[in-house]
Amino acid sequence: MIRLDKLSPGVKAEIEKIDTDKLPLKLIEMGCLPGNLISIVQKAPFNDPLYIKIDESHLAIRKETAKDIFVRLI
Amino acid sequence: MDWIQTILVIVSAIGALMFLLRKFIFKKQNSKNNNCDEDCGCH
Amino acid sequence: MSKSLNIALLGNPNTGKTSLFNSLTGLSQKVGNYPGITVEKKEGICMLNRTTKGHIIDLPGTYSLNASSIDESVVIETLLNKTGKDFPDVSVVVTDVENLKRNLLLFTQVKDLGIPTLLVINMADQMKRKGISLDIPVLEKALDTKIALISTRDNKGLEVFKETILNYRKFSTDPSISIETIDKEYFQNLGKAFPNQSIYKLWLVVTQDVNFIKIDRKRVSDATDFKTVTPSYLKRLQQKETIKRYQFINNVLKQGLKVDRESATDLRSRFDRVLIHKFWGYIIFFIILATIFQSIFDWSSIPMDFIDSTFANLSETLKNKLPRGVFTSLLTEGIIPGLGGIVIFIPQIAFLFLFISILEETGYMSRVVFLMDRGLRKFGLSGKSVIPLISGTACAIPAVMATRNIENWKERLITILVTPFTTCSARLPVYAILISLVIPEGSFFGLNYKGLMLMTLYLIGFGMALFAAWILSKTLSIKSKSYFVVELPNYKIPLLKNVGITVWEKTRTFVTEAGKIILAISILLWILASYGPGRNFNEADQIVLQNYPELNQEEMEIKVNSYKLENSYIGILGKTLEPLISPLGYDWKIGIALISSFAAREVFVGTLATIYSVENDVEDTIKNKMASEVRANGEPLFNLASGISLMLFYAFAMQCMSTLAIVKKETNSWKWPTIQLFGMTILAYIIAFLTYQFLA
Repeated sequence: MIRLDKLSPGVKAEIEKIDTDKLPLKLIEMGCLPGNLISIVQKAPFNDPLYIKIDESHLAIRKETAKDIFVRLI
Repeated sequence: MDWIQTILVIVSAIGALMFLLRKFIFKKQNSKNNNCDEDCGCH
Repeated sequence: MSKSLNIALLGNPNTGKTSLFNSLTGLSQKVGNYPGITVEKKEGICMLNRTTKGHIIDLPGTYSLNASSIDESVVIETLLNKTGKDFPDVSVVVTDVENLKRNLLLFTQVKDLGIPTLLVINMADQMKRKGISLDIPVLEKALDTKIALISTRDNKGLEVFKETILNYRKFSTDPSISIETIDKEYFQNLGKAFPNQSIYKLWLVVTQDVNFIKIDRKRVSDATDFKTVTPSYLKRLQQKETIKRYQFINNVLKQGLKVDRESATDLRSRFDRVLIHKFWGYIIFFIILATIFQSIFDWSSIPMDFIDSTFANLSETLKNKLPRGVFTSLLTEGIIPGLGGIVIFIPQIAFLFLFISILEETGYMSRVVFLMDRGLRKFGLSGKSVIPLISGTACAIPAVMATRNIENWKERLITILVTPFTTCSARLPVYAILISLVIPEGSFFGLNYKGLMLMTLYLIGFGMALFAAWILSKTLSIKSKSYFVVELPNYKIPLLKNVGITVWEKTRTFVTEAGKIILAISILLWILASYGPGRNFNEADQIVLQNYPELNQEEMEIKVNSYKLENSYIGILGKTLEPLISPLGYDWKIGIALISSFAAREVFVGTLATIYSVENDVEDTIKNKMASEVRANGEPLFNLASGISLMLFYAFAMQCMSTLAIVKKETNSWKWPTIQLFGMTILAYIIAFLTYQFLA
């Protein structure tokens, strides 16, 4: 299990665990829930923000938010 | 004919003045009365 | 008699909800505001069949009914307010076929409110290309609803959509999930406190700061206090609700949706590789901005010259045709030149809105958000501040409203405070005319000086916005939780209809709103300039004759006119102000234009046009009149020093009452607009002063 911000772009993973207290509800609504597929599409300069894909949703989130998402490689 | 022109000028002046006053000074009261029916529970 | 049906359009952002709205209503739509708040309210009429009229409301795009911003509150309030005139008979949730799963979250929430709900799946024509297949009867059964497949790109499926909606009474209104199962004890208590209400509605009210008709909010909060749940407990319940809804949706889609990823071709990743590239992404963004500003200046010069001379001719013709008199003078010297001063900028404003709406429609704007977030955070802003800063080049008012989706309050407040520094379209007229007067012809690497100057002014505006943001981020001590989520939608070719309607709607509003103010101000200005107190004004002929007996008749007439103007009411006002502004290089006439600019900046040109027309009967274009103004020592009034000083004054000064009003509304305090007014205007004065003293 690794933190999302440590994941390399293009590598497919599954959301394992989220920090429900810290993660904004909006992100959960967008599908950031355990069990869903996640990958990093691209990173902005200085690796922040991150362009991620959760199921079919393409989102940008900041690195600090990514630290509250834990994933498992598949 | 001159008096017609004078009256027209006075009318436009009053109209312009009223418009600006309503727009910038009495704006608040107006918008409340016009847009809000009593149920809407404005913020 | 025709019947009327209230239809509410809901949906995630970027699903083509507004395209559907545009297709249904065309130009019959009205854009206004929800009462008391600054959320844009779009409504329009559409004939569903010969006898039934659909009154369609395009609600703001949201991802769920869990309100985290005012946009969502508007949606919830409309859906909960049974007695409101906008309460929908039927609601339509517009979804994107490519991301049905996430889109259905909102659908299940809306359906649970017990309003007949139709599910619209947009971009159905793309299914094959994307490798998606849907089993509609299965989905209809599983979701317990009616589904309409449409494609707003080629207007397909609209007739079926209209037919389906007419049968709204047959739609099921049963909830998709039973909210009680999330936390039995909590919801039982809630239900006991308000026995006759739907539990789900109560739940929405509890979790959101929304007014609820017939239920006193205080009593609801009492009921929840009684169970002593903390906000974080409520949030956890909301998460549970979301998870439960997704479980339901996953089940449904397992039966009715098949995706064959192999056959999918992906344009997105190809574009993204270039457009948000770590290096090229920024270069491309800069080139796009430069192109926009160059073309605004270049492409609009022909229609602008045409409009300018048309208005000059109109004044001339009316003057000859109408009987002589004071009202004719008001018309030809006051109203027409004043209105000409706004109509002339229609081409530039239309181009600006055209480019901005194309950037948004294509999906490029959110890539810019992604590119700029890290950099802007250094200045205390958010990547999302890009949208206000760029749309601030059209008008600060919608830009301030666009800050609403910035989640962090401090970042949002700073964005609101600095947005008025960006060069809005109302400054464009002022810059355009001053640049054409004082900046020489010539070009530099194929870019002409005038275009470059305009671009520089835009950059100065952005630069000052960033600098001010940086200062504010260091000085304001506001703690707020920070997060940032932005969707990067698919790239799309902009729909001509959407772009066209946006440009038309925005330009029309700009012209009518500013036009009314300018009309009123030019009438008053003309009167103040044409009448004056005392002997100096009323006996001007004799006084001039006494002092300058040697002048011929023509010179005498000019002298008398300008002597009269100086002693008119407005002349006296201007002369009183002159000591304050002469260190900046301005004369009293510019001073008057500065004051009237507080109603709207673009009034500047019209004001000068009116003043010069009163002074000089010769009908000429505004530009020529300004060019022929001279100082006491015979030098032109508008030279490089005074021109640039004036442009910088306009760049920095807070001269827009409407913006102040919107800032007051959005920040809910007088403190911030007051700081803006004085801070920006004093800054403008100092910079204009230094510029003029340095250049003159």
